[in-house]
Amino acid sequence: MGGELLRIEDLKVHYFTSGGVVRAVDGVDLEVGRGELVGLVGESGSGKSTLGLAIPRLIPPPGRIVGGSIVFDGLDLTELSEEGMRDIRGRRIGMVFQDPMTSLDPLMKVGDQIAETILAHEDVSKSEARARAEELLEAVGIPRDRYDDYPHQFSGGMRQRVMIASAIALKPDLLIADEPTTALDVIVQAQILHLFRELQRSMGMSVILITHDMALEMQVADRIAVMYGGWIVEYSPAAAMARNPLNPYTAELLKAIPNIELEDQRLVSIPGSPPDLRAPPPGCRFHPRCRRRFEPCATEEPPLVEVDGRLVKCHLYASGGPDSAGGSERGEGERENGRG
Amino acid sequence: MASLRAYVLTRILLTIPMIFILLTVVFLVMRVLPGNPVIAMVGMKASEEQIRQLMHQLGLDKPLWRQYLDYLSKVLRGDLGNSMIWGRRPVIDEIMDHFPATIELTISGFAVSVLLGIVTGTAAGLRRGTGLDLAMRVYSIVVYALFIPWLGMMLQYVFGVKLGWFPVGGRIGPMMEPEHVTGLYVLDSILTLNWGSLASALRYLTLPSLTLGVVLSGVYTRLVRTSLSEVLEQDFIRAARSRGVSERVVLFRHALKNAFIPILTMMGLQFALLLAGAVLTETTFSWPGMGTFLMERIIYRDFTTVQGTIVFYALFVALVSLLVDLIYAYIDPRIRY
Ligand SMILES: Nc1ncnc2c1ncn2[C@@H]1O[C@H](COP(=O)(O)OP(=O)(O)OP(=O)(O)O)[C@@H](O)[C@H]1O
Ligand SMILES: [Mg+2]
Repeated sequence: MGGELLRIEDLKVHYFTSGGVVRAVDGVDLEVGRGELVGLVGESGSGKSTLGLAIPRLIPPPGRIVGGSIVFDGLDLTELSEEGMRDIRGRRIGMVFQDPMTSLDPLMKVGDQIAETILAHEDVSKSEARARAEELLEAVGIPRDRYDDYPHQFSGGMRQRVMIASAIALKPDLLIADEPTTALDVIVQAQILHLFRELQRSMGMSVILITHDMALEMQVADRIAVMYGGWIVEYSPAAAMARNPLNPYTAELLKAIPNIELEDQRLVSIPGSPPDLRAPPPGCRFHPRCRRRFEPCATEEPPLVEVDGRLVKCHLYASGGPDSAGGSERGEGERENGRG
Repeated sequence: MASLRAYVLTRILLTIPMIFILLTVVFLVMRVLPGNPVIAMVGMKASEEQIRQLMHQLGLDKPLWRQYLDYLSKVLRGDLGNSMIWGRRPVIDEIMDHFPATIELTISGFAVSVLLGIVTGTAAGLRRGTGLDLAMRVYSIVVYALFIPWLGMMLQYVFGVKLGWFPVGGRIGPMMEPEHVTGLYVLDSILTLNWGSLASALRYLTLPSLTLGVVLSGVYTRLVRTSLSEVLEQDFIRAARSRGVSERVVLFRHALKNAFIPILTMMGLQFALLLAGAVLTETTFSWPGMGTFLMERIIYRDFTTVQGTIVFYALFVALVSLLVDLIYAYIDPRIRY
């Protein structure tokens, strides 16, 4: 572990729809260390998938990266040629998507879809690619003689395993998993997460795990980035976040985790609704729903502040805030890997 | 595989009542039309007696229900009977003389239409909302509305008469026929390594297949565009891209293959239309196929030949649609009969 693999700075991804410009990702900073598992959480529509897709530059039209940089292992992906980007995809950045039912080509043998990653990047024979894909099938817990099966012959969990096998076929440095277990039942979900953890440890990959499930992230993530309305509003080590959430929104999300030890298992949901990203509220995007808002919140965009090696985008921690004690506005270039 | 065999068998059994109904209808329609083969052949000049004798020879003096039952029992035994005019050759021989020409035209017209449809539809589907997309849309509408004989004559005029590049009628140059193997001139020329015949056959084939192909391509343009746009939005396309495969592979291996499924269905449905189009094309280009032949025999009221030809056509359409279904099952692993 150690060292920085990915650094995203001031990334903006907008969808230019006929109904207006959707500012799905609007000035995001995120840094991922090697071998680290970073969780990306947030309500539906907060821009998690958009951020995940922007990294390998797979944003579909009418979306576009309109600003910022994505530096991956010293390479700014936003400036790479399409051919250069293609070489990164699959080989150095793997992706797993939410819906295993639709993410595999129904007309292609599952094994071939794993071998496809290998054949796209390496000059190997079909039989060699097949042999390697069979090994990968076994690595994700599927018997190798299922190579010639088609996706419809597999359950959701098995399909997701195939997706994972195709994503890790070339031992990428970074795996981006967008809600990889949301469509699966709880038991399969646990199995898949376990598989992730195992593969990540054995291969030393970095992982960005996107979900809207804070409880799940708390179990597996090293650091957690919380998204709200196209911003990352807090980025902290998981344990520290659980103990002491900095952003009021993070605190609400943690409260919303159903606590199995409590008798009252009502799911606490956050009152109010997420912002319309075509016309986000002025100032802090969370202020209309925030219990702790004060006077600058409705007018000024909160700064990104470093607190004890954690990052938080909230006026409470800005110098001049009501209890600005530990907060100091983060200056360019002095950022540090929060985990050290 | 056993279920597939059962499926094929059911399909074949289902065509039997269809053929029976068709046969009955054609039988009746032919007899409702004024005139009969004897009058058409010998004309009004022949004497009453001569006509009565010929009618008797052909069994046309029997009551209608008798003729119908006689014919039916023959067909059930696999005998399409003999022609009612001139040499009175067996109908099946007459059909076999003209069938290869039609097949050759149909296949090449079909290939042209699908190829044109895929190229124009893919262009439109990949560039949705652009001028190219609009141009392809206009193409599909215009082409669909064209009348085959009209387009045929325009092509004959421009490429045949004005430019002199292609012949305007017939199937092959004089004395150029290749040795008979299948009856398909292009194929036979290749099989017998007869390059002169091949060149000639292709030259004669060009304008008719273009005519047929262009008119029928419009449907495919629209369908390929829609189908491709839908497939390109699917998750597995994004997943393929995330593996780092090239756009070419995304298009050919994933998108077009999946987009092809509804197109294949359309091909099956369009086949009967293709044969109808082939009839018009054949008459426009004096192509010696089943269409030209059928038209001529309808005029002569050659009852047995017309009936036999229609039955043959129907069987052929049924066979092709069965074939399409089998291809379907081959391409799409989700299909289990
Ligand atoms: N293809 C698109 N065209 C237009 N707008 C889009 C498109 N994709 C996403 N958006 C918009 O961008 C915003 C962020 O969407 P995104 O899918 O990134 O959110 P998310 O956090 O992944 O949500 P979820 O949890 O529902 O997956 C939303 O307002 C969404 O409506
Ligand atoms: Mg999403």
